[in-house]
Amino acid sequence: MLKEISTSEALLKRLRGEKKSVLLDKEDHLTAAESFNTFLEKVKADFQIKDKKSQISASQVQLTA
Amino acid sequence: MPTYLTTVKDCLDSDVFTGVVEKEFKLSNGVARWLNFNVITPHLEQLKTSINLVIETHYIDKVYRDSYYSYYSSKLNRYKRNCIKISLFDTVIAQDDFLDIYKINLLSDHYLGFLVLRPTEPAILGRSVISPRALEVNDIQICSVRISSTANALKFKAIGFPHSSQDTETITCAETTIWSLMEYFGHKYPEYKPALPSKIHTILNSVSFQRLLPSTGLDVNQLSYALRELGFGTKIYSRGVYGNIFENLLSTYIESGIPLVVALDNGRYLKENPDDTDTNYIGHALLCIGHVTTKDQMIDDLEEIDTLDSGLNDITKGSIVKAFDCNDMVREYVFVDDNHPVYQKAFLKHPAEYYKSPSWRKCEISHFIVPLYRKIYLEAFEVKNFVLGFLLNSPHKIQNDNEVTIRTFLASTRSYKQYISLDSSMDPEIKRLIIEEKLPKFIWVTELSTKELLKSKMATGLIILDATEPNVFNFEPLIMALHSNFLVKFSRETKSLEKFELPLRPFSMCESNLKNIV
Repeated sequence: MLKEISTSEALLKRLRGEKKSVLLDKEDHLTAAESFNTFLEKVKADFQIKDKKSQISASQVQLTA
Repeated sequence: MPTYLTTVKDCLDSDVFTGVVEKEFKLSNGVARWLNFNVITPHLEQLKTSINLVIETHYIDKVYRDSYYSYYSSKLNRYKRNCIKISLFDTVIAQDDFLDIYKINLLSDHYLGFLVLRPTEPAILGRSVISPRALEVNDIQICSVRISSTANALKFKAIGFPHSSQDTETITCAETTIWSLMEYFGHKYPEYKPALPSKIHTILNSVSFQRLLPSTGLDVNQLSYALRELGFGTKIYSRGVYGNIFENLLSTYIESGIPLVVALDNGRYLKENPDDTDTNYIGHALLCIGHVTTKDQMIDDLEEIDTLDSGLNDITKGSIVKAFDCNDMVREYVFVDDNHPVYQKAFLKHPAEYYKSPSWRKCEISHFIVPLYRKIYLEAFEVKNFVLGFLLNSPHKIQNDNEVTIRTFLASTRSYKQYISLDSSMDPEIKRLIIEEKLPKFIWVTELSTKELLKSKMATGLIILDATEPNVFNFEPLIMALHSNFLVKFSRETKSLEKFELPLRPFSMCESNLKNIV
């Protein structure tokens, strides 16, 4: 006999059945998601520049002491 | 082969080591005395005076032998091949204890590590692994590893962080730092191997345009290259480039239990003060391995995250959430510095404050290198911004008027699931949700709390991100977010967020990355 001991999928299914779940795909959700993505685009661009500049400046530091 | 028993107290009160060093390294009494007081004593002074020492002579040390055969043996000056090993026990020991099968467990429980003296006068302090339990003041949480060792013919495990002073000829600060780091990772994880100095030089040969022995040091990029060749996915962070968030990122990686290579230099001071001809350029590599334990005052003193500074002001209009980042906590960090005894403490703003020289005290941390696991593709800068953006302006943001503290760290899924499984404060339903979730080998975890709950090490929510997902857009790295009595999961199939009502009571914070060894 094989007994399944994992229960998390059943829990989520039960919550869906009890109308205790909602998909965040309404217009206001998507607007917030778009704004979040715009922010992350800036973060990504900023990071890529910072990453390259860090490498360039690292070559100037001699560790001898 | 002469073996001796003594105590730290006796060594500090009298010339115990002068005689041993004079006899074993065949040095004059004056030189041995100088070495005792200027080189050995500073390392003993930080230890509990009650500690008992076993001193063994004719010890074959693998690191020194490597340097001996690759370099010292080729010099006219004759160097001895053997070292002196000092083993530490925090119990009174007798000669016969080492021959008694019933005493082995007692000795093992009280073994606190070792240090080696090598015949490379004046830099005679060789490798060591000393348990923080041996320290007079043990208020630190650090990355630590168990390393096999022997004392008087018996095998023991030393728990601590590997340290060695530089010998200035085969290993300077850069090589010592690489050796120490590989000693740690090599003994802790099967993916890595310890690297002896000759192996480190072999790796560096391919990026060096001149000879490497005698060593004249490395630049930060060469050091990073060596670590990459030794199996890491390294990342370099520069203070000049990252500005105000530099120390926060360093703290995030330390909280993740990753020892960092830190570059100290006084280059900025010299640039800003060209008339100061008394100060020489200093560039130094060392490791940052942990921090002092958290005090309530440090939590009270946490300052609100400046959203203007993080570029979040555009998207947080109208948000009046008070957010505090635990990685901004002002506290001392723990360093492994080859110019000083192990476990030095200093603030990130004044990392060389334990040095006496004014030139040194003008140094700042200019860069740090993170030796990441190769398949961790999502790094800290993007994670911190993702989490803040998610909490302050996303479909599942924190409600206004709330206070939230965030604590972000990397964790291996194995360790994190073990902590979740064994945490008695978490609801079993929530435990199962996390344990049964498909997770990558490494995850980014952000624990949410309040200042008051933080003092009792309790969290009120968490966000788990996939550390193997570098694409931060459309919530791709998000595995789950649990806060405000809701669970939010990102579906990789439908590419959308789903929110479930799920009560969550406070649970214990995960503190398995850094350990206070008591």
